[in-house]
Amino acid sequence: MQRERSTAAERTAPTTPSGTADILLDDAARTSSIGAAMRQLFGSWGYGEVIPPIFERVETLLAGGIHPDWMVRFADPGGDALALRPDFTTQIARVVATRLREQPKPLRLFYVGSVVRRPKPSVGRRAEFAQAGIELVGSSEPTADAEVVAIAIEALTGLGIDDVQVHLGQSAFLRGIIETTRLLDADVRGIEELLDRRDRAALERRLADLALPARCAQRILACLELCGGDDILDRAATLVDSRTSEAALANLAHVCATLRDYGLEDRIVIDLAEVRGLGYYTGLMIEGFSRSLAAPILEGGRYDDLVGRFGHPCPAIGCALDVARIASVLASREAPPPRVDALVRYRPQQRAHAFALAASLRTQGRCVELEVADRTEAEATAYARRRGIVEVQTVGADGTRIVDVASDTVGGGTPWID
Amino acid sequence: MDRLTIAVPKGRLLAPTLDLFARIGLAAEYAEDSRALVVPSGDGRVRFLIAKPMDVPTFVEHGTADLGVVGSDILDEEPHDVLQPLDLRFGACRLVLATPHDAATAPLARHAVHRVATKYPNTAARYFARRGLQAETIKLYGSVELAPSTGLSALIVDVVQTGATLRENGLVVIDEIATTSARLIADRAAHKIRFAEVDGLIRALSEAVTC
Repeated sequence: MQRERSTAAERTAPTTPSGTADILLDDAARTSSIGAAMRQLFGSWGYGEVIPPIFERVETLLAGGIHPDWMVRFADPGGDALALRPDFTTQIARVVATRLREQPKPLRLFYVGSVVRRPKPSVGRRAEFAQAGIELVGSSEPTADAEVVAIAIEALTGLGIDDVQVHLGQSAFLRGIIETTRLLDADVRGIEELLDRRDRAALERRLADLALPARCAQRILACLELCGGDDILDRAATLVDSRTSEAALANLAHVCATLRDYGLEDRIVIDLAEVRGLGYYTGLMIEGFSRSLAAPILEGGRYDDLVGRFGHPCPAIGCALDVARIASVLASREAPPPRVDALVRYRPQQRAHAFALAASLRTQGRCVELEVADRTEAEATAYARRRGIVEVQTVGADGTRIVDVASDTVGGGTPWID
Repeated sequence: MDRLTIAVPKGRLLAPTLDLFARIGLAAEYAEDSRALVVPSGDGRVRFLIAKPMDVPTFVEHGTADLGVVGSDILDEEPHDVLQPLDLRFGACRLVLATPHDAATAPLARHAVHRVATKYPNTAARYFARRGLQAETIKLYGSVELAPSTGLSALIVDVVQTGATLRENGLVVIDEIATTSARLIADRAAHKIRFAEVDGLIRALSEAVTC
């Protein structure tokens, strides 16, 4: 087999695979602290953590409705087709239907971790990214829908994203309208595609070509405008006469009323124009945005069919926070995280003393590095300046000498000669 | 609140694009010899980014621009996750398969591998696959008409407006692959977060295009 030739530079500077990245230092700290905050918050609402495997059988993922194009696949030595997890929800549905089957319902679960998807060809797509999410299993009540939305909003505002806007859709609304048309699946997909592009003119033409009754065509076209405040529900109600759509609107009204009692009505936008996820979600659809980012930072919805595919029919709703995108929003707003407070250096004879000093500073909540290189105070100070370390403390026989790195002045302790 | 940002394409679509926005009251303060790449509208309500046509969908997909104007030839060539709410109808062109005059009468042989030079390799590959023909596409960035005369490839896939350039280079159209025109595209998130503003602008443009 002939190998691709690579330049010397490529050989010496390996890069990560397309769609992946090393998350380093401050960014990594931010990412983990989001995870920690989410664990704390989800726990406080009574949710328990699930850590599923990082890969899963392809057949399990397919049964869960994951599109094959999403999966990064490989085979184990026995020839089983496996894929890195593209999504936690399918794994949690499997867990709920099998190992947690006997648990009393409602069952509240959460997860924090990375998912891996084959990146789409368009620019800037990610192959691996961190998520934190919750699943509320065993209740089909609108109060369960509202709880999931409320926790998500509390999570985002708690992290400092104060402009969260959550769009709520209802997959049964459009399904109810389309059911009454008795169109072929291919035609329905064509209509959904045009709705997804928000191409009003092309949709009008397509509906005319399909010779739908005028009233029905008007309803479908009207969906494009059903985005806004509470009044959208009233407008939508005048459009429909199918029981499926009416039930969808009743559910949304109930969810909104519940969120009002959580004090979150200002965060909510009703969005009945969204068609993405129609094939997957069976009820409420959730999408959350911050104005500082051109992509959703929260996605989820109700999937009452999913757990049943693993043999234990059971309603469920969940949502996932996009930790990577949230971290990028926070990075654009936050001051840099705290620096290292001190570098402690010492003569071999004073080593135990230096370790005790470092330990005592750490118990005071300060962040301390110990010297592991053989260098002069001037060299150590130059290093500290580049690292943003505040002080260099040198432990000598007669006490500790402290150099303030920013001003290069000596304070405290007695002189100590290198 | 920030102004809406609209990415508009340099080149032949720029004048009709700015003209359309002027008709809905958003005239760009743009002088033709200007090198400015960010131009406000006269009333300051929006700003225009003057971008290479190929880059317009990228600016919109990343949310750097809320809306954009771009030829459907470019949208068909590279997939971008953007809304396409409106066919603006101007800038109409045809995407065609062309070959030198003397070769035009022979049908494309099914057993051969056809070499085709084009700025649109993905669109061309899809076209040949649809016809059940094998093709090797060669990506060029301009002057595609050079390919047949220099022996690079007998076939080209390119956009033609009047056909004059093809004729001058001794080429004839043997098939039309698609008709193209300028499209309005929108960032998905902006369309949600700023629905009233973005949808209002789309409606105003829609009316301006129809009348």
